[in-house]
Amino acid sequence: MSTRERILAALQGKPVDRIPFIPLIDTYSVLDMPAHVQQAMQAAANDGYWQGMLAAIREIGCDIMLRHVYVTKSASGAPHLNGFGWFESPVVTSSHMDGSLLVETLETPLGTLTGTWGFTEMHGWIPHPVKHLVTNHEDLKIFAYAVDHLRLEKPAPDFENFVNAEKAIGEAGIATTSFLNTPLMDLIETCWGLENTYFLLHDHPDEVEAILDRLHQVQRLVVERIAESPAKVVIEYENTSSTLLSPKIFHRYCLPLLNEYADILHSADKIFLVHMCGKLQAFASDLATARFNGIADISPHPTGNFTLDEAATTLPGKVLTGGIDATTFIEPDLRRVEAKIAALILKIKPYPGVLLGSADTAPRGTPLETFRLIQHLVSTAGSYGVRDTLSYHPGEFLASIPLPEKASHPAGTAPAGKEAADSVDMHLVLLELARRLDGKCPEVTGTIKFMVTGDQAYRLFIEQGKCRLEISDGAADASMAGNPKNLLALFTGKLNAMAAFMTRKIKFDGDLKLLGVLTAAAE
Amino acid sequence: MTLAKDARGMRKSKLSGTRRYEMEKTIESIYQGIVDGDQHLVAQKVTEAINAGLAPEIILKDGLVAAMSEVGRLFENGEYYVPEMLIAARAMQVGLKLLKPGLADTCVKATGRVIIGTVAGDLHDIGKNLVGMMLEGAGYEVIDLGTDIKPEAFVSSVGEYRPDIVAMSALLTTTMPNMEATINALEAAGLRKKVKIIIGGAPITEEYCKKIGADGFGYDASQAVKVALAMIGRP
Repeated sequence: MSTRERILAALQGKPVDRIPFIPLIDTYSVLDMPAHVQQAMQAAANDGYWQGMLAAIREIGCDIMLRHVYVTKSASGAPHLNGFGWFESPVVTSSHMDGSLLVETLETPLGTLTGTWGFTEMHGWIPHPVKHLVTNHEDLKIFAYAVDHLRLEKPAPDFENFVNAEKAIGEAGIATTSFLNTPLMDLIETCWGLENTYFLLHDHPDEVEAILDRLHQVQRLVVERIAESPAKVVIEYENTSSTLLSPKIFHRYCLPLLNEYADILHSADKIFLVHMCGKLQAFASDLATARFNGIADISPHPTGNFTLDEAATTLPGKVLTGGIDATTFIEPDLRRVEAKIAALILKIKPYPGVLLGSADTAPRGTPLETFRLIQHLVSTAGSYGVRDTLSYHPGEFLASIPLPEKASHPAGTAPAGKEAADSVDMHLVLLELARRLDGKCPEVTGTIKFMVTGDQAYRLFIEQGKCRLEISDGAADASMAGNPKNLLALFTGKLNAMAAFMTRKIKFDGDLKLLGVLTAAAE
Repeated sequence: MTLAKDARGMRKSKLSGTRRYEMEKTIESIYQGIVDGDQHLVAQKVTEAINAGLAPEIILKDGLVAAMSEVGRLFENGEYYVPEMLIAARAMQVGLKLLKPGLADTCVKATGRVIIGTVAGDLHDIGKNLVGMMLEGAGYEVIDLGTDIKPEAFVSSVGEYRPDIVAMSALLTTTMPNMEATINALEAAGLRKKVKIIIGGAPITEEYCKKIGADGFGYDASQAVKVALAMIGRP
């Protein structure tokens, strides 16, 4: 499969040869990257945003699912205000820099509103609201007047931009297009802020709902234009999170609109994902029945509260991307990263419709080696076909590359080189064992305990052939105890069970016949 | 919403008979007004209570603080979310503003004093604001330093305000190291032992809290209040 075929198949829930790895790379992600990545990005960015990001992703070396390749011409003027669209006369927008602040102004006959956005170097020069445009009921009236003067027509197409991006990517991946979040989320995040939005919605619901309705009408036209475009995959950047919304608010103000956008896009045979990078557990029932195809950039703890495997179980049939949170990307001990990601890959296997990636933008400070390590893991542990998980050897990749200074263990005790190659993560090994054994012996029921030296106890529950692994101690019908190296040798056929018993490398106890079923895993 | 008098610790005032009953009803209305986020009702009832001569401390503790404690409980139970919490906190702040002159006159001590800010390089303020409001609702005096607060600004504020607690927020993995930088700066200034430090924000974990030597970590605004109360909770 080419990367393009693989990503498109995964996005449609079809079988793939391996799980794709499509982190969300933004300029922020690249700020501390080695010079060659930054130079490649900057040189290409002279031609435009997506050109720069494509060059950066190529240097980083992961699968390409390029974001934000626009298919429409955006309204010119103040960057945030004209994000809503074109304002008709007599409403006028303008913007200027005041020191380090971006000042945007919305002039109407009822009055003028001013919002400011600040920047910090650490923030990656991404603007952040400092003074909101609307803070009280008088501002609300002015804003209502302005949105009533938003032009109600589809934005001008720029399909050639998208075609050029797809051509440049070729079989190495896909381009995706995008549009802004639902009006309520947009007000919360850009022009009104969280407190003002909720206070005004609470105090003046009819007026705020009229504004939301008007903004939705404009947004709907954007979606209709996107539906006509050559883009196959569309991502809406909603940023849903229970740190911003309640389930009630989401159900009333966001979900119906997302469903409407989904219907428009599906009628044009598009795949529609919604970027939701926050805490999602509270919205699970709505998300399960939502009509969009999937959720992009799922976030586990601490930035979110949904792991990929939990989301896969809770939201059956939904395409899911993401699953790796920012703190994992910046973890300096790459061995810990490897153990975590490999365990995740095995856990979600072979769930269709999953694409491994970053929970929101991959953070600044991520070592290049981390991306390469994860790319290695999806190519080995994440393979579904002939090159299956046996081609994954923990520690092997890290032993083969020079580690950056940053990547050394903080206490200087991280295994490296041969030592790293010798180390075995038994959780991964046993997860894979359970996966291989699952369904192979339908006549077998029982519990096998694995007591791993220097590790925790694991129990494999077999119920009429169905297997489930737990990290737990307790009663079992049979057990085996040994160090990780010997147990792995036994499972991979390098150590004979009888020899292991005689040399006391591994201790067996209980129903030895039950232990015999483990040989089925090697077949 | 049911109102459990014993749970909110209604205190006995010197009033008695019908008048005491009326005041209890007023406090109950303040409590319910905050839980329901009805700022106008809270303003009206707090004014009534003050005019009727009820001690500001009782209005604060039995009305405002008890109500925000209930809001925190509802939040933890998943019955309330950020929007409801914000609306309730606004109603509480309306009541608190009316009470402040009376509280100052009677020298009522706050639960503790907190300075709060988002660390250097970070302009995000939603989480910080929520924590600040909830701490106020628990009776703390909160001094909000704002966003993008450099370590030296935290240090000078500790010197100036003599807080019991320093609360720091960060949303980005790139800015969270500035929490450690601030702790180090407080240490260097000889102020570290004079304050408790709590931290929070999207990428923050308990493990990170321990690693940088902070005293406590709040997973959300409600938890932050619990952590603060466990550290500094004047009766």
